[in-house]
Amino acid sequence: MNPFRRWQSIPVSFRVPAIVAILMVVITAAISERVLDRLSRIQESYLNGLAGTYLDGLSSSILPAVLRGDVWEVFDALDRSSTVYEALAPIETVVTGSDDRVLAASDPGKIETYSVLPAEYSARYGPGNVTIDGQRLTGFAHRELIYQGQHIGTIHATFDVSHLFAERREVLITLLVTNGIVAVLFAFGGFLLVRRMVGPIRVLENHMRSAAQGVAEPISANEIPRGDGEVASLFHGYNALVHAERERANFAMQLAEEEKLASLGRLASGMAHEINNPLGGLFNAIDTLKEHGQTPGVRETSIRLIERGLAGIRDVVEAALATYRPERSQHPLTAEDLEDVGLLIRPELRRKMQRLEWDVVWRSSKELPIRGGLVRQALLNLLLNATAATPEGGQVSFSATSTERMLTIDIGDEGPGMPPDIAGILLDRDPGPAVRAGRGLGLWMVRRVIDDLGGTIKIGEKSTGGTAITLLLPLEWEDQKANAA
Amino acid sequence: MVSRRTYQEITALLVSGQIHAAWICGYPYVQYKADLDLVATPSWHGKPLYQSYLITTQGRDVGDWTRLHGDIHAFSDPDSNSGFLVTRALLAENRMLPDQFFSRNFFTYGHRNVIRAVASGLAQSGSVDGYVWEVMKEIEPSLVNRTMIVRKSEWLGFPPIASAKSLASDSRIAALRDALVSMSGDREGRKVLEMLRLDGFLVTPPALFDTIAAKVETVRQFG
Repeated sequence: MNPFRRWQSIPVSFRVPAIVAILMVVITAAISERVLDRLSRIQESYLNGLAGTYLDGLSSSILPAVLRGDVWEVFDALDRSSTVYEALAPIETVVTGSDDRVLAASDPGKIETYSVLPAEYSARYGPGNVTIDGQRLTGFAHRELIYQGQHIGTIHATFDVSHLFAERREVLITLLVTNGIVAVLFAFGGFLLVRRMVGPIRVLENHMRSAAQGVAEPISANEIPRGDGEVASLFHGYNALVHAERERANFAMQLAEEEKLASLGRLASGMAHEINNPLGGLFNAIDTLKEHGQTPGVRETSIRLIERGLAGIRDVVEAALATYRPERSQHPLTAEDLEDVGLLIRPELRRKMQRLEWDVVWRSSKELPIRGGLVRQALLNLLLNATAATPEGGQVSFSATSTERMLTIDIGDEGPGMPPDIAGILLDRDPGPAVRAGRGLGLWMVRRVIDDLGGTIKIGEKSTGGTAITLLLPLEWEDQKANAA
Repeated sequence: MVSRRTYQEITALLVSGQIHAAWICGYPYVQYKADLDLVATPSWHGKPLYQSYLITTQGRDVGDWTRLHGDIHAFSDPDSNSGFLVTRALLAENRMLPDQFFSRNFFTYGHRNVIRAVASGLAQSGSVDGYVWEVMKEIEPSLVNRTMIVRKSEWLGFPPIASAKSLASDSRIAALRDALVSMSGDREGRKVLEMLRLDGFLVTPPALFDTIAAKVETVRQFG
């Protein structure tokens, strides 16, 4: 995971305090740098002033003694000045004559009188009044002694500047500690603030997760903050959404139920019609039997009529049973299944005075390795849709061909064409809003069946007008399964 | 009361009559003996005598004074007996001048300054009044203990109170002498003497300073 994604994966209630802390560190660093730089300039200016005063005072007091080469007077002046200029903390002062030999040093034991001044003393000065050696915590300054335009000697002074560095260090520590405490407080404050801000979002998130799992509950009134108008508005909005969704779901369930009932009603009326048709003939045959039953020719003819009528009724009842009994849906598909579908749709065709163009090319094998019950349900639904879409007196087509691996079924109608949102139920990954609105539930059942069978659906337009729906259903023979295994 | 930095200034004021009496050194007294009278001489440890010390830095390995050869030397005052003349006469007796025996020498114009110069290392050795060194050892032991005595001179006449000879008959001089001599009998006087670590003041003959006069002569003869 790259650092940016890793950073984004950290919860916002930690990210914001971290950003605040990082910002404070950056601000602290910038402020500290400016403060220390300013302090450093003030200290240098202060030190320059002190050193200048020291050298001015000393040079005026020792000038006559240097002119005379009076070792004692120079030493005495240095000795006295060491206590007078305590603020400057002079460590060592050396006075040389015009020949650069030492007249007197504040510590004669280290720099002997009349000795030649070590070269390092002359080489240690920078361009400013006072040169600071940060490593040795000392400052250096020198002053030429001029009498009537003549160089008569030099004062070389060394100061202890450790207190300046100690002061800088103290200021730095104070800045770091103070800003560190402020940064921690800000970060903690940010953490609390963000947690407080994120808290309601968590409530919303939990409700949405529950909703995704199918339990969409509105946010209770005591969870809605009273003071926070934006969050309260958000929660009220969510609750309105939940209520609307519930209403829509109820409506969809109601519609589905109605659709189911309508579908069943149509089937039932079809079946009743199918049963009723032969019933007239049967009653006629029974009347004939009553009156002329003793006549052998009439009796046999009547009994055959009754047999054919009852066989027709039996076929219709069996077809309905085969289609709507779940335990029968697992059997392999046979040519009879398709014929049953033709039988079941016939009353609807007849009602609308429609013709069915039937074209089934069945392979030699009796059964195809695909669940027959599911196919029957899907085909019956599609044919019912086709008859509904086709105007009265129109034609509905049905063709089925199978190859070694594939069963292809085409169902055509003469309707005005399928609206895109309804076609989406069959084709799209997400069945879309049509199903949620309670429309096309029959097609949604077809879609589920075809998905379950691993097949695909295509929708095309027929050249003669109308819609052609093609189902491609894969066939899985036992030997293929064995090979796959 | 008048104070001056150098002996020479005080002696000049005294001899010229600008001041009536002064506590001067035996050396200027001998030099201007013809113009000066002794008023009284301090008595230290029962005698009107003191010594000159040659001192050096404490702990230095020095056998005798000749080992001070090549030193930077601190003198007190060119008109001081103990702080210059005694050492100069010692060198003259040994046929040497200070500039030859010492690598460098300078004047500090004060016996305490000589001690400070040697204690600080500004000078490796110095010529100092033995009385001053001993008294300062009590008062400022931290300073004096950083020095040690290399040589003590013979006992010499203590720096006297002198007056101009022209005032010999002046009653104020007599009164001063009486006051000084009777100081040890007076309570306030004893306080002063205790502060100075002196016993009192004595009337002494001019011959007390003959030994100093002899040193002057030695130096003069050597040049």
